[in-house]
Amino acid sequence: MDHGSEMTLVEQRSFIAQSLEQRLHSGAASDEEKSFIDKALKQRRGIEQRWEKLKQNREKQRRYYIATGKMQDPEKPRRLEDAITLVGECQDMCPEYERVQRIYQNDVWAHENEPMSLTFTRPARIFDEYRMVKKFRRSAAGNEEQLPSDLRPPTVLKQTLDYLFAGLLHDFKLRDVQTFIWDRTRAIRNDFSIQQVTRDEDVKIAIECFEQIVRFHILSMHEMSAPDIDVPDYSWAQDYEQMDKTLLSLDAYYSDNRDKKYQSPHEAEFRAYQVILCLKSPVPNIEDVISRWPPHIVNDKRIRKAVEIYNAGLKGTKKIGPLQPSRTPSFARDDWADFWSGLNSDSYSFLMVATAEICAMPIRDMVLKSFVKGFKQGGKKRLEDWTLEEMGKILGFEDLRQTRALCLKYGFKICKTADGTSEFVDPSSIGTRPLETPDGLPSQMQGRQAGRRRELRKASAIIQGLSVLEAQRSNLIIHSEHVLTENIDEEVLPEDKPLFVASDEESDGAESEPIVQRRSSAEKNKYDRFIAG
Amino acid sequence: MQSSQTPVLDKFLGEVDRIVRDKNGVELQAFLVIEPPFNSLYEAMIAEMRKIYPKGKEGALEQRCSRMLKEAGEDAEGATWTIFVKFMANYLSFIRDVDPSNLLETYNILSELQQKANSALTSPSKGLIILPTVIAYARVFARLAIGLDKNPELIAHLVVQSNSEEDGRRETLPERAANILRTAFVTCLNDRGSGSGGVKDGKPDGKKVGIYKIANLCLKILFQCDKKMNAEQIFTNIYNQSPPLSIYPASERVTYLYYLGRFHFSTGHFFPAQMALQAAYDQCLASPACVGQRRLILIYLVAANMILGRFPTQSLYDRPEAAGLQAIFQPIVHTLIKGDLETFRRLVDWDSPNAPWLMRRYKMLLQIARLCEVIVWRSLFRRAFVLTGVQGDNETRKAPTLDLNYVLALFVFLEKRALHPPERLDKFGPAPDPPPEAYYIDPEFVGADGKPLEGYHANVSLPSMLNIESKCSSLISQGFMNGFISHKLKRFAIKGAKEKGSALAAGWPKFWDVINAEAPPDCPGWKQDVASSSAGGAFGPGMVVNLSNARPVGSGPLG
Repeated sequence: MDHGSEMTLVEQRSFIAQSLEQRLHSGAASDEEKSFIDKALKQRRGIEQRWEKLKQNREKQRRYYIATGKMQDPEKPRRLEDAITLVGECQDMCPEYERVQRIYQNDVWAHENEPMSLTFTRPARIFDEYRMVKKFRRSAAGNEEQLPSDLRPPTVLKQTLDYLFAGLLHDFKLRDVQTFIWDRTRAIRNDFSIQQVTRDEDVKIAIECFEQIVRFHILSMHEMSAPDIDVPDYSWAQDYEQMDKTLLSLDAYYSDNRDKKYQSPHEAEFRAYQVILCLKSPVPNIEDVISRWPPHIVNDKRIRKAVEIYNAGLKGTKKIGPLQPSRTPSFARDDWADFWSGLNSDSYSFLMVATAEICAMPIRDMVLKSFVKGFKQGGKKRLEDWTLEEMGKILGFEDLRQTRALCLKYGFKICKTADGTSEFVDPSSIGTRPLETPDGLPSQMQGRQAGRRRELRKASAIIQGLSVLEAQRSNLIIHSEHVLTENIDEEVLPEDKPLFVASDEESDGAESEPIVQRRSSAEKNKYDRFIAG
Repeated sequence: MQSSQTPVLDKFLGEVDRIVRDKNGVELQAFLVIEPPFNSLYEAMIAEMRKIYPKGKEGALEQRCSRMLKEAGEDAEGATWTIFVKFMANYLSFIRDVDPSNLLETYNILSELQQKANSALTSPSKGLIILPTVIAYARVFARLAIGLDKNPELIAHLVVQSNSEEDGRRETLPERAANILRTAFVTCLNDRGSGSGGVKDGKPDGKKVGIYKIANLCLKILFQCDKKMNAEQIFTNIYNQSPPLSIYPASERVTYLYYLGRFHFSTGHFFPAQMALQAAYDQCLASPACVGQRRLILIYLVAANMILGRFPTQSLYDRPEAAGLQAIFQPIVHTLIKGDLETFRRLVDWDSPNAPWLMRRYKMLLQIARLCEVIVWRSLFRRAFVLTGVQGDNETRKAPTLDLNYVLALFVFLEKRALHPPERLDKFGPAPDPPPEAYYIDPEFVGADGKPLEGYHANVSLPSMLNIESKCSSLISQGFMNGFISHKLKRFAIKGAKEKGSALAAGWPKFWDVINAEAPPDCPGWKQDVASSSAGGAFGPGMVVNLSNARPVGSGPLG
């Protein structure tokens, strides 16, 4: 049965409550599940009154902020110079107004529930206001304006980020919480941006947060590009977009605060990512930009290494602007072997390699195109020179299946050698036409370069920017028994959009009932750390 | 009675009204001075205003202007120019309040005045009268914006975030200043008041006169404040809408082409950069007063050409504006011709003696290092062929070939030498192994003792055979070498030796020739003449005639 969107929120809630009551009394639920359902039902009672009350208070609060000069009066236009910058007052990861609003609107995301209840169908989950994190909202017209009580000051923003990166990412796989963190870090950046922090100590916190968020995105794009990962809701493009914007903000923070007391000790690291990422930029002007950076950045060896990768990977075949008509540069280095051999060495950190990986698909394209031109001998001679293993080397893959898949996608024939011992890729098999870039290539493919450098460190160590040694000392090294969430992989959608049709899951019958996984008390205690305070 | 209290002001406004009636833009600009010290007449008027129209009485002042400036009222067609009244009131309060010792406040009030003037410019019937004033103010305004940008402590509190929130972008003071001037530029560009598409008797007409003057001021702000990328819109607008550049005065042409060339240079388009800079250089006055300007253009012109494989002659180096350039560019050119990778590495190193000049000052070192190396590779492959190549045999149809192992040996030899200071090397001896300081490992993998952690290795990158094949295939696929690689035999085989008469000529076409043959003929951002233009003779090297309306010979009349 389809309840669709015609149901009002009140109807939805009463429907969910009914379903839960049914289940509670059906006899199919275990005692433990019953106690959860009971708790969930209690939580949902009274939410309407709480919401009504908060709504009434809100207008009062708004008038108070305007009267005390903490907020702009929309009725009274001011000169731009006299605009009031909001200062956040919210001490929670999520303001109460939003918490109740989202509970009321059935918009609580999976990881805002008590983790023990995640194994249940959605309505039976127990939301946990301590775990709720302010969600991203566009400040577009029509959306409610933010009050100081909706904005978190820098210290609270940092605590929230710590919860996401050190807490959540410690206990769940990145793939399961990616969409949640993606959204919540966006909201964190938005809070910073609205408050336009300028005090030294606030700028320091903002820079630290933005740095960690960039690291998160680079790590996330790498992890989510693994061959065995398939998270339907994940969008690589959106991951990239937000990383790009975060980096842009960082760039502004660094240059605006050049003469201030706080200088980030990590600036060179992020400038290095910026250089490498320019491989994807439609306007390759990074050389001009680097020439303006202060000596202590330019002299950092990582910047030079990043420039080496940029030089090797910059393609001569892509049309670039910014002026129209766009055109290809007159020439380029197109030195694919240099690109890979650099990345294979320990001269690049894990995140630098992962950043290069973000830009690597066009380089594989360049490799294959220059491969055809450089190694095709003409005539009918069948070349057996390039085995799949050798092709893997020039395409930067370890996994032969990846090499095979990509070559086939481009239209190469893969044949057995005459002696039958191995397979090879024939550059002449695409005929005389110039090699075209096929549609539908993945945006990023995990190469062979990053794996070994990453293997030891947990996601939270990478995001904090810890070296291998520091990660060892902080005990942020991956042990195989980590990973709690295996059993809910199927159940938890990375992005839990408001969902009405609880009955489908229920009506599947008793056999498919979710079962609470028994956990040791030690594991249970682990969750206690989550509670912000 | 009020008028008797401000006799000078009344007279002044009466004169302005007369000037507007006469449509004398030049006289208006001469009248509406904004830079102190003012002469006694203006001082008298300011004193009157301070008494009768002090700060806060702007409304009354505007009313006064409205009564006095009859020309701004309805004309025969019923159109009014009330924005001019607002501008005049703003002008008067500007000279009343301006305090040049406060740079930021002066900038702020001038910014307001500039915007009022820009608005007055938009009037289709009368806007033209104020164009000289707009341009004159824009000059001062640009100077102030640049001055403020160079004094970050004055504007540190003014970080203006855009309203688009978390998208990371924001507008800085020089960008905003350039945007304000750009509105005036766009008004000029879009002017429809003049007949004949903005060109009359081979000269710009109407407000189109102001296009390049204002564009060049915008570009000056953006280039001097390191916001080059924002110039894109100006170049694009001009390319789409402007009358041909050639009908504008030489000084405007040269300035514009210089900025356009720099823009192409900084975005990696060296061929169009070279076209614009060449034209700027050719059209720049030869008078000694222009030597500085010619030199600036020449520096980028030489660099762009060098990157494209075209090198300066001695007679160029001998020109007065080229003083000192030979010492900087010629050693690099020498390595490109010889394939001297070792010396090339030293010359383009970020710590080389010329690096501050090439990188910090002129922002071209990284581009030279990245691209000129390809020219070095080509010369080195060529040299290896001269030394060790196997000539082909036309009878047996055997192609001339080059053993890539020799090329590898050459590369490794030169790269290794480049890792040592030259004074530690024998001139001809074998290359010593890399010194310890050449090894590098990312700090992420370093242990407490400063040495690599177990399982990690410090590394020095020296080419392998795969690197040579990669460089070779890059040169082939871009047309700088002609042939193919045998991956199995590790040989480069040259195609077309028979037709060209020599393996060397067939295998290594001239670098610049390859680029020149491939390059599209136009230069984005440079509005060229149309084929039928009467500007004949004004074409310089690199200029292109747009023949899109021409028909092939013999195709007969249309229809």
